[in-house]
Amino acid sequence: MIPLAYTIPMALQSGVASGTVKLFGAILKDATTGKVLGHVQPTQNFDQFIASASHQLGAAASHAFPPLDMALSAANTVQNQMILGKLAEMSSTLGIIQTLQFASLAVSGLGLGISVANLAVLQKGFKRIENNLERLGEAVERVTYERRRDDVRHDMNQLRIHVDAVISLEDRNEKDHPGHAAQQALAALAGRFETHLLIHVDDIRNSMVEDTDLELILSLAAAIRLCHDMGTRALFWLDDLGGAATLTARQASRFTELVDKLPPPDALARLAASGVEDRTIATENRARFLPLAKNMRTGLHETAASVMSQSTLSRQLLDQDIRGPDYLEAIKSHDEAPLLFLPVADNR
Amino acid sequence: MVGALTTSIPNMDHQTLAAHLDLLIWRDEQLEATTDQLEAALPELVDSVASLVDEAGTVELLKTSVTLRKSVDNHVKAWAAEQARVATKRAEIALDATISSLGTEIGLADDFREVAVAGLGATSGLAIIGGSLATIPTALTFATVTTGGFFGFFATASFSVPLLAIGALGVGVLSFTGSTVVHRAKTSARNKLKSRLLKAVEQQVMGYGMPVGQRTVLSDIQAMIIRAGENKIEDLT
Repeated sequence: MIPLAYTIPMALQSGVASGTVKLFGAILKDATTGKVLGHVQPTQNFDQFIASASHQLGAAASHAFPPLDMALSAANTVQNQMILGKLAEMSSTLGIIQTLQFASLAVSGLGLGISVANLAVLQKGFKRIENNLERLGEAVERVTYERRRDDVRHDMNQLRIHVDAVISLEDRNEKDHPGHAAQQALAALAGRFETHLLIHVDDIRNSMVEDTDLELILSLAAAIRLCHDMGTRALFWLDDLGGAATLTARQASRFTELVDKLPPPDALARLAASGVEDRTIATENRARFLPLAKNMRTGLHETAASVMSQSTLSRQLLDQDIRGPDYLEAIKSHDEAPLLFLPVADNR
Repeated sequence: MVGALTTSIPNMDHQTLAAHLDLLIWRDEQLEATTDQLEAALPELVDSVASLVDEAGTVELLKTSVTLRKSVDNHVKAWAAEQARVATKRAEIALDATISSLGTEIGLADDFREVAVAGLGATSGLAIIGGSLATIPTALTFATVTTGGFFGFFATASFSVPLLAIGALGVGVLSFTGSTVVHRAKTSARNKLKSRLLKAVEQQVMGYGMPVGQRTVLSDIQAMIIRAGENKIEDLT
């Protein structure tokens, strides 16, 4: 029996509120010792739940990967607090969500980063990334070498094919070959998206930056993460949790290298104001751009934490002798709450 | 050439990753706070430099523009040193708090220190700050700046009023002192001089309108914070 619970223990919720327990990606951990206390796991309901809360408030952030300005409108305003309040009101188990920045959920696009088991979120994530990249096509071309836009489109098509392959694993009798093939192809695709992202980061490191540059970086980062999530899901179906644990830790390290290469938000905001002689206008330009850059930074940090969460989740399942396919099936059948809680073995 | 991932970062666990991201947040918050600080303090500096020009006599402006230049230079450098002291003190306190919150299991392993320093130092490739980082002594510590031991840096480095900004009054103006026309001309010339000087101050302090790679007082202070932060993390035991 997989010890998934519909509620996060009150002691942990209180710990999060008081700061003795931290939420890092999907990991609940002791703030002092770093010991993992459990994982939070969204169900199929999670995305719908956020959308519903947003819709009830007439909020702009009713879909999880809006343009940055829309995400921002939900980020630092009263509206943000209203959405969080509404989420808590709709479910007594969601106190934990209030500790998160709603905007980072929105911008990172794929929820808490524990989406390996949440197919609906993964599929919606793909569509959002694709739409975003299409909308940002001109920004892709502005910075890119010949046929870059075509390259990104081609890679997104490849991603769609391999996402479909992973989705089909659930219903296949023979999972080994297609599962491994899809996982390896997704790893290679992640490398290609890394290259696209690095090209763009190189371009903006020393030149004037625009809003669309940040959106493009986030979209490419989301594509990398989708590759990782779907590859991990394939390994879960193959019950290769050891491989998933090692691979996702490595992916998190590589993603962190990408994050390191991005200019700090202050530098991006000053680049956005570069060339302006008038002090007042330069200050205003920086002030307008800085929240966008910080939002991007938060989203990327969340993504790194989320990928790492999958490594600790895989280890946790191994420790508890839970098979990967069984875990995926269990998550699928627990769909009455937006969030589930998986305690560590000695917490049961 | 497009950068590539070097895979130099060792495989991290969730603790090391969290610590790494916390240190990046420290860096980012301190860079932002420094820009905010200088933006807020700049109007007062500009006003005080304007006063120096207003208070300078006509003869002084004409004959001793070098003196005015030096007095403005010194004024701005003293201001910059004080801004650096305030910014690095704030950064040191925040870094201490960040380090103490990293958790006991992080252990400050060599891998962690290496990754953390590499993360902070990734800014060296940015033109907007890299030029300053290249000039900051590698052994700089927070103590060096906050105790005033780094005052001399600004005396020789990032700020220097360009000669072009001084010497705006034509020689002809002096020879007609006393006439109303000349008085207006002197006022106009003084204002032009002041305008150029204040623009130079804004450019050299904040980089407004300057090429991205131009060193500024702001980028120098930010580089000091990064370098002192790197050294503090490397010295942790």
